[in-house]
Amino acid sequence: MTSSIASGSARRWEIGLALGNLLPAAVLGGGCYMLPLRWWGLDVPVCLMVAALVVTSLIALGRPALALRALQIAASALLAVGASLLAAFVLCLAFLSGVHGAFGNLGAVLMTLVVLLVAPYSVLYPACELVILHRLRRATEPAPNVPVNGTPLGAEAEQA
Amino acid sequence: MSFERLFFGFRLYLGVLFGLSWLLYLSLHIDRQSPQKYIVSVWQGGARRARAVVTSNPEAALPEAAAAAGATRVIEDVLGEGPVLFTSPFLFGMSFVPGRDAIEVSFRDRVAHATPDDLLKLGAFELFLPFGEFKVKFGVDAARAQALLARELGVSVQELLAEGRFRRLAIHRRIPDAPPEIFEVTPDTLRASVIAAGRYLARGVGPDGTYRYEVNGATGEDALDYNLPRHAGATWFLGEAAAYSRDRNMRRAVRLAANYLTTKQWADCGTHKCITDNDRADLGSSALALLALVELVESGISPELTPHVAELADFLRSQQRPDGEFKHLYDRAANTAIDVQFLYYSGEAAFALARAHRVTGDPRDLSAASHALSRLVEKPWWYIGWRYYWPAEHWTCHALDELWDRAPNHKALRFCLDWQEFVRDTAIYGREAAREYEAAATSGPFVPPQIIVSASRMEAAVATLSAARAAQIPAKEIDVLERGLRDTLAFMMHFQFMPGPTHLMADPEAMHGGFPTSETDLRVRIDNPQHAGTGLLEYLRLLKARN
Repeated sequence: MTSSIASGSARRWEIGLALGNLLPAAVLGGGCYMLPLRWWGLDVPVCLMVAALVVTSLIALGRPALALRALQIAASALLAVGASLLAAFVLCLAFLSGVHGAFGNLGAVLMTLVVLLVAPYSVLYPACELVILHRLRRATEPAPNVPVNGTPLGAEAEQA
Repeated sequence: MSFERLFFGFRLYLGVLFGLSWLLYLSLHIDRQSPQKYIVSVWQGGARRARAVVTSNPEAALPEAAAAAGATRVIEDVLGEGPVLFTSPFLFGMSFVPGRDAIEVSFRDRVAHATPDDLLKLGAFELFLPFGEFKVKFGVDAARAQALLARELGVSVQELLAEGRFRRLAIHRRIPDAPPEIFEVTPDTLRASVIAAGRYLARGVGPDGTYRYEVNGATGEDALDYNLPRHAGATWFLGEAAAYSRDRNMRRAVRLAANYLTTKQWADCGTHKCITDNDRADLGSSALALLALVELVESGISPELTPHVAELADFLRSQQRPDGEFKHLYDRAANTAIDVQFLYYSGEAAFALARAHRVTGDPRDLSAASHALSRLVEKPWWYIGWRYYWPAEHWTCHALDELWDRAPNHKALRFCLDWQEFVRDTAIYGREAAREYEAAATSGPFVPPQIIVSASRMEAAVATLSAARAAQIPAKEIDVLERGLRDTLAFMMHFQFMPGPTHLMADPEAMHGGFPTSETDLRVRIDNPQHAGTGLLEYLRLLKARN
C-alpha cells in the first residue's frame, strides 16, 4: 500500500472529498431506507456501500497517510455500485419497452428521471473523484524522471 | 485512474450497456401487424368448450362445437410473437401485456395456449405486488397461468418449467357473429348507456333495499362486504336515472334503496339525525344520502322525504367548523363530533348542502356549502406541489357547478380547470399495445386503466364544463375541456357491458349495463355505474340544453 502525507492543498482536497462522500452515502442510505419494501438484493449492497463510504471518509479524515488509498477504494466501490444500478435501470427500461411497446410518455419520463437522479451521485461523482485522486497521487509521488503533461492538483503548493 | 483510462472505460461501459439494451428491446418487441395464425375458441355458459389453432379460414373452425346452443366462437388473431426470457414468477408475469398477450408453450411435441380470455377467467390479472402498505397491480399471475398450461398439457408445473418453451403472442380478439359495437358519443348512445347503467343498479336492489354490492362478471359471485356511503351514492345516481328515464322498475328500486337509508340506517347523532350503521357516524354516508333524498324529492318520486332532507342538512351543518372544513365523524355514544378528515367527505358535504338548499330554501345551507367550497380550493401560495399532485376532486367540482348560479366561485372554477388540465396531460395516449385506452386516466403504465378513475374525472369534467360555459370563459379552453371529456366518455362506453364479453360471463343478463373495474377485471361495484352514469347523464343534459 502506498501511503504519503499530502501537502496543504492536496490535504484540503482529501478532506473535501471525504466530506463529499458523505453526501452520496446519505442519498443512497436515505433513498434505500425510504423504499416501502425491504429486499436484500438492494438493501445489502446499498448498506455495505454506505458503510464503506462512511468508514473510508473517517479514515481519510483521521489518518492522512491512508487518505488517498481509502478515498480511492470508496470511489471505486461507489462507481461499481452506481454503474451496476444504472445498468439495471436501463436494462429494465429496455425490457419493459420491448414487452409493452410505447407505454406512454409519463412512464418513460419517470424512468428517465430515476436514471438521471441516480447517475450524478453514483456514477459521475465517483468518476470525477477518481480523476482527482489520480492527480493528487501523482502530485504526492516523488517527481518523475519523465515530464508529465499539465500541472497536477496540489502540485502548486509543492512548487511554492 | 487517469482521465483517459476512465473515459475509455466509460465509453466501453455505455457502448456495452446500450448495445445490450437495444438487443433486449429488439428481441422482445412485437409489431402488432396482420394475423399470422388464429386461435379459435368456443365458449358456452362462461366456460371454454373447444379450441383449435388454424392458419386460415378461422370462421369455419370448430363447426360442431360452435353450432351448439348458446355457444360463441371467439377468434383471436395472432398479430405477432416473441420470446419469453424468464420463468421466475415476477419476470414471467411482467413479460406479457395484460389483456393483449397470450402465452404459448411448447412441450415436447405438444403446444398449449393461455389466451387473455383464459387468464381473465382464471383471475390471473388480479395479482398484486405488496410494497409495504401499497399494493401494485402488475402483469400476469405466473403461478396460475403456468398451472393452467400444465393442466392443458397433462404434466406437472415442474416438468413444464423444466422442458417447456414459452412464447408471447400478441392477440386481437374478435367475435365474428357479434353485431358491431358503436362507441360514438351521441345523445342516443349516451341515453342508452345511462339507462343501461341505471337498470343494472335497479336489478341489483333486493327486497330489503340493499344492492348487489359487487358482482364478479366472470364468476357471477357476489362480494361479501358492503359500504354505506357507496349505497347512498348509487341511490343518488339511480334516482337521477329513474327521474330521467321514467322507468318504473328503476323508480321502484330507488324507493326501496332510499327506504333502506331512511328506516334501517336512520339514527340519532346527538340532537340531529344522521345515516349510520354503527356507533361512529361518518359524514360521507349522510352527505350522499342527502344527495339521493334531494333527487327523489325534486323529481317527485318520493316527495314525502322532504323532512328527512332538512334533518340531514341540519346534521351536516352541525359538523362544520368555523373555517369551513367538516368534522368527518360523530361519536354517538359520547355525543360529540370527532375532528378528523378523510378523502371525499368534505366535497360530498359541500355538494349535498348546495343541492339541499334547492329543497329547503334555508340560506344556512347555501352559506355552509359556499364556505366549504372556498375552503376546499384554498391552497397556500408557496405550495407548488398542487400543480403536480391532485387528490380526486370530483365532488369539489360538482359543488362548484351546483353553486354557480347562486354563489359563483371563480377561484373554484380555476381550480377545477387546472385539475382537468392535469387529468388531460396525464391521460393515456398512444399506448402501443392498447389503442382502446386513449384518453383514459392511467392506473400505471403497465396495467389496463381502471374505469372508475376515468369515470370520476369525467363527471368532474362535465361539471367543470357546465360552470365554465356559464362563466363564459374563453371558447378555446372550453373546446379543449370538452374534447378531452368526449374522448374519455368514448373510452368508458367502449368497456361498458353493452353487452361486453358475454362468452366469459356466468350470467350475462345480470351484468348488462354494468361498468367493470377494468378490461381485465370484470367485477362491477355499485359505484362504477354511479360515477360513470352521473357523468354520462350530466353531459347528455348539457348537450340537450345546448341544442
